Parts: sequence; C-alpha cells; structure tokens
Amino acid sequence: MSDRNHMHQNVDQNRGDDGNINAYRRQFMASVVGISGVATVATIAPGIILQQAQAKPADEMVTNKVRWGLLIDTSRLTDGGDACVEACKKEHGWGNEKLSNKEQDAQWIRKVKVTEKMTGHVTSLPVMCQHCDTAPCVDVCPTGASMKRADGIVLVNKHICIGCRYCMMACPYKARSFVHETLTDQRPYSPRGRGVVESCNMCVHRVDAGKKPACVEAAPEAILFGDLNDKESDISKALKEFGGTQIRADLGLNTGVRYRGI
Amino acid sequence: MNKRITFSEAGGGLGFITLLMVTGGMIALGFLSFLYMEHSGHHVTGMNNQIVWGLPHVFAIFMIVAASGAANIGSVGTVFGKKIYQPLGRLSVIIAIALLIGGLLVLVLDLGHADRLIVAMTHFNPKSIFTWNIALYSGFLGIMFFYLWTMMDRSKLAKSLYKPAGYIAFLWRIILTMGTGSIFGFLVSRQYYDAAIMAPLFITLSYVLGTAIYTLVLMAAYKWTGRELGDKVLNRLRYTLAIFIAAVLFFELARHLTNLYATEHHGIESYILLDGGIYTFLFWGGQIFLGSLVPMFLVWCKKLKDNRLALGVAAALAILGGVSFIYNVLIGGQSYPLVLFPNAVVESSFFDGITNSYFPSLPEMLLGIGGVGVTLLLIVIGVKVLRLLPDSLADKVTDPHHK
Amino acid sequence: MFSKFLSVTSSLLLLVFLIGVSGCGNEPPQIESKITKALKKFDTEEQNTAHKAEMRKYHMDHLKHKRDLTMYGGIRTAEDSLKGCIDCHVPVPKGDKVVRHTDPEHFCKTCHAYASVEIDCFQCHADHPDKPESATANNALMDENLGIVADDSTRKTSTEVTGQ
Repeated sequence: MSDRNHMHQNVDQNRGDDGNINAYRRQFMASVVGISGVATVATIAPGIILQQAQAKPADEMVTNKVRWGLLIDTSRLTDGGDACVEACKKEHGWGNEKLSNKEQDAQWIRKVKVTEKMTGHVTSLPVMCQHCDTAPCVDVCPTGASMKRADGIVLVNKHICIGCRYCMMACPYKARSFVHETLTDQRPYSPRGRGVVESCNMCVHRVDAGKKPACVEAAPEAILFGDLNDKESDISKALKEFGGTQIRADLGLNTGVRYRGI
Repeated sequence: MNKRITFSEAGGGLGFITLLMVTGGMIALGFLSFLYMEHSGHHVTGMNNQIVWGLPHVFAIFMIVAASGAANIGSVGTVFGKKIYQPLGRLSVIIAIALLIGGLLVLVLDLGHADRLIVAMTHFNPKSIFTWNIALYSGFLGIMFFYLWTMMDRSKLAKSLYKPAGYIAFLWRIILTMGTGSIFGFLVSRQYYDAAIMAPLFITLSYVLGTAIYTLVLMAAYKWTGRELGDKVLNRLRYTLAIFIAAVLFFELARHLTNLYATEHHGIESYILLDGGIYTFLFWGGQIFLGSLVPMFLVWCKKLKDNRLALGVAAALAILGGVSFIYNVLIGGQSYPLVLFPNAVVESSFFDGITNSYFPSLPEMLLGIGGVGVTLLLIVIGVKVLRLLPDSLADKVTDPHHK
Repeated sequence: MFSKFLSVTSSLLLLVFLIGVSGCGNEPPQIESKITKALKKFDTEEQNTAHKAEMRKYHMDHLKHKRDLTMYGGIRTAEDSLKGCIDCHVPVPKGDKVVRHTDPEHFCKTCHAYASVEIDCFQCHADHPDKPESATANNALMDENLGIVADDSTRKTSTEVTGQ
C-alpha cells in the first residue's frame, strides 16, 4: 500500500475523530456553562460552541484578535487543583528530575493553599504562569526569549534563552523554573532541557490544534478556557457577569488567568 | 599633567612570576569549575528555583560595580582637575577594565547556556535592562581603552582628546552603574528590590569599592616594586573612601526609612533588620559595623593619621562591607518569600511562603575566585607591560607646593 | 624580534594549511550505507532523490525557518517540523530498545558524527517518537492529526481538514 493511500485513510479517520471531539466539546461546554450558572443556557446555541471549538488552520499565523485566557473557579475544584497538576506533569513530562534537589525541581503549576490569617478561611488553587498582558518576564529578558505571542500566551523561546534567570527574578508569581540537569525522553510536543527557563505555556501546542490546555481538561467543571477578546465567548460572559480576581492585581499586569472564589 | 612625573613599567623577577602563578592558579580553578558546572548542569550548585541568583552573581555584581568606582580616581583628576589625582589615572583605568572583564566573565560563565553567548550579542530586547547593560559594558571597555590612550600617548592629538575622553568616561560610568543598580530597582515583584534609590545607592557604593580596591592595589604595587609612595596621595584616597562610605550609609538610611514607612514593606524590613539570621548578621555586623563604622573610625581617628596599616585595614573592611551589602540585597532579598496573598499564610510544594535558604557550593565559589584571578592577572600584566605607575609618588613629586 | 614574530606566524599558518590538506585527500565516505533508513517510503524514486538532495544541504535552514514560524506564529504544519523528521527517521521505542541521539545508529548521529557537527536540538527536543505506552489517548489522537501530513501533500490534506 502506498504512503499516500495510507494518509488518506488517516484523514478519514481524522474526520471521524474530529466529529468525536466536537461531540465531546459540546457536551463538555454545556456542562461548564450549565454549572457556572449562566442563566441563559438556551441562548448558547450549538453554533456559538462550534465556532469556539474551531481550530486555527495549521498554516495560519496567530493574531492579536484572540487573547486566550483561563477562569478558574476555586470553589468547584474539589481537589484544590491536584488533578490539574497531574495532567500538566503528564502532558509536559516534568516532575521526574533525577539529580536536582527539591528546591531545584521544575514546577510548571502548583497547588497553593491559602489560609487567611484573621478568618482562618482556607482556599486551594492552582498557580502557574498568569499570562500577563504586560509581562515583567518579557520586559526584562535580554534576548527576547521570554515572549508573548500575539494571542496573549506567554512562553519561553528556548532556542534563544541563554539561561540568565532574570525572568525568574522578575516574575511575581514564581511561575518559572530553571532546568538544572540534563533531561532525556521529553514529550515530543513539549521540548524542555537543561540550562533554559521554562514555564506554563498554556499548552500552546494543544491550543494551536484547537484543543484545550491539559489542566482545563483535567478540571472541566472548574476551569473555563477561551478567548478574552471575544465578547461572546463563555469565559468573557462569565467574567462579565461574575468578575474574576487577579493574583497581585496591584501590579497592574492584566493577567490572562483569572480566579473566582479567592 | 605634572611635568616632573615619569611613568615606567613595574615588576619582573620572582615576585612577578609568583603573582602570575597565583593568579593563574585561581583562573585554572575557576575554569575547571565552569567546565564542571557546564557539563553537569546547575544542580551541582547551591542555586535553585527559589534562589535563582547566587554567589557567582555576588562576585560579578561586586566587580562590575567596583570597576566603575575604580575609574572614578581617573575622573577626579580629569573632570574635576585635581592635579594630585592625575598621575593615578592610568592605573585606575587598568583596574577598572580588569574588574569589569573579571566580573563579566563570572556572570557569563554562570549562564545556563554560556555556549549561546553569541545569541546574547545578536538578539536584543530593547526594553531589557540587561540589554542596556550589554551595550553599557561593551561601551565602557571601549571608552576606557580610548581614555587610557589619551593619557599615555604623547601626540598632540591624544593630549587634546584627554579632557573630552575623561568627561565621556565619567558620564558613561555613572550611567553604567545606574544600569547595574536598576537590575534590581525595577523588579516590581520582589519586596526588597522595588526601589529607584537602588540606582544612586549603587553609584555611591561603586565609589567606595573602587577607591578601596585602588588603594590596596596601589599600596601593594609600590611596596613590592620598592617605589616611593607619599602620604599626600594616600590621604586623599583615605578621605575619599570615608566620605563615600558615609554617603552609602546615608542612602541606606533613606532606603530603609522609606521601607519602614510603608506597611507593605514591614515584613521584609523586619526580616532583614531583625530576624533574618545570616542576613541580619550580614547587615548589622558586616555592612554597618565592620564595613562602614570601623573603616570610618580608622580613617578619621586623629591618632591613626598617616597610618598605612589602618588605611589598608579600612579599605579591606570597606570591601567586606560592600560584599555583605551585595550578598544581603541579592540573596537575602530572594530568600524572603514572594507575597502572593497579603495577610494570609501560603503553602505549596514549591516553597511558597517559606524563607528559602541558600548554601553556596564549592564550584560557585571557585568560579567567583577565578573571576577575581582574571582581574588580578590583568592588573599584574598591565603594570608589567605598560607604563602605568609613576616612578615615584613621594609627596615632593605629587604636590607642587611641597617644600 | 620582528623576524621571530614572522617565523612563528608563518609556521603556524603552514601547520594549519597542512592539517587542512591532510583532510582533503580522503576518499568520500560510504556514508549512504551507514545512514539509518527512514521508516516510511516515498511514492516515487524522484521524490526520494529530491528529498535527499534538498535535506542533505538545507535541512538546518528548513528547521530554523520552521522553528521561528512555530515559536512566534503558532504554525504547526508537519512540513519541516523536527517532530516530523523524528517520526519518520527514528524508530518507535520497543520495550527497552530506545534509539537516542547519543547512539551511533540514531539517524541524525550517523551523519553528524561523520561531519563532526555537534547539535543541541536534542537537549530539549525529544530524540525519538513517544513510547507507545506513555502516549496518552489525547496525544495519540494528536499524533494522528498532525502525522497525516508528511510530505508535499501537506497543504492539500490540511485544507481538507480545515475546510470541513
């Protein structure tokens, strides 16, 4: 059998999968929207959902018409974010360094337990790169390796990162890690290696393929992912109706990751 | 320039060879530890994802800051027209160049990807203070060599450019040290750094460190080469040192008082000033007492006037104070946890809300010592091959009014 | 003193020249037989020849160009993707048998060892396809999504997919 035939078979199969994804998405989005309490479920027509699920064509550049963001509802995180952390580890392959000590291990996302001193109220939330609009890490990077994509995703261009760690000094969220040892068996979709800085990249490879970040899929009832620039997207609607808190809002960084219930 | 002053090469003989071997050994150790760190990755260092900049950066920042201050001796002669400083200019420029190269080497060799240095030279982010500093440091080296040429060449052209070169060097230096201070000053996220006063503070600190190092090098060079060094020159350096130490104290006072006024900064201030363990000790014991008060006493105590040992000790202590300050700002500032949620206790697997500890490892220490070795070697060779040192700095030579 | 300088310099130059010449006399190596065979095959021999000719000379340009497109633009076509190269040129791990970039039989290594060119791609990038067991359902799905486009049929298939 020739390669090309094989490929066409794949395409067909792919179409089938795509259909499944959409079906899954429809169900998933409906559940999110339903739970997150947007009263007008009926107005969320299938058309809108389909529009949101549509992937950017693989050969098209990302634009600033879109700004990806997350809305994390901590009150719906039954495990405080453990599942998100696990999903991220699995997706990007971090968390099994052999030679580094605990302080040197990379952590792209972590579960933070916050106990308010006066009231004793306890909240747990996952903290990772907050994908700031005006990101301090992007400002300080000498080579421009620490960058913000047009669609608002902040990530490290590891090809030109020299490992100076200035971005780690600048980040208010401690979202970045430096890899202290030689790595092997990286995930094909998530290159990471010694001597460069890394952080949550909002699963940029999945987003480019029209999928949701791994942590979002791990906690679909608690995290909304979507386009903050699109007034009709679920995340924008939810943010408009209920608001969303930024961690260290005082710094004015206009983060792409917002929280509810903190 | 004073006509009676002649310059000549110094050194040679067993002492010179010994110095070469000692500094060469330091460099070899530093280079080996660089190879070790580069080969294994940074897990062999004490640095980690909580304390991201460690001892190499203390060394590097110390030397870069001191470089600017060392060149100040030359500036005082050129820009402010103080005749007595003019014979000291050549050595000051060489010390400045050597310190800068040594400091930059340590900084660069600690990078996660030192092999990608060419990337740092070809990709620029104009908003980054590091990028400004790359330009400032390269420019500094060029200007310093130009300045040295105008001092040493006997041609009319060189002489006519001496003053302009001095002015350019002076201005460039101030901007350079501001740039270095701003590396910290503009870090909004860290409680201890976010203050514009860091820039003038670093400028003043550079004068202290530069003067102290210059004094020690000058005294050593004249002692080992058997040349005459008068009290007039040394007293100038002595009082310069003390005045700048006082100025640093003033800026430190202002910085801490500002912090103490703002509730937001009470946590970090009480950490550094009261219960930060090693950092509190470094602040009060290292920076304030040994690094500032004792040297000022040694300089201004009437009984110790013209006492060279006292001056040497004062300079060494001022250096110790400077290192304490930089270590305290850099490591101490990082060890204090970031405030994600005010008025709350924060815990996580990533050491949120925990005071981080840092233990420098041997390779880091050796890398820093290697950088110091490079600096010293450059000075030793510079003094040997160039006419940097006046044959005599006796009082009757340096002071036109001396009887 | 000047003549001493000249003699040292000229003898150094001569040495460099001789070293250079010594490398020139060798026969071109039988590298063809040593290179690890790709897992997939082209339809026609012409495609194969064209691919080899282009990639042997310009693979680094392709990769670098694509690298920046992907980094900044999020363009993830399989064309010129390093992952695409690896998927076809490095075998999928079977049990304990994993071909890594440090092994002499790794496709990239076979040539790069001969050419004495050190690459640091694999400090970060995976040097072999994902192990079947570690590939999650999601990833497997995505592998197929992108794996369909392996050569110049890229554009066609991707428009087919997006056009639906």
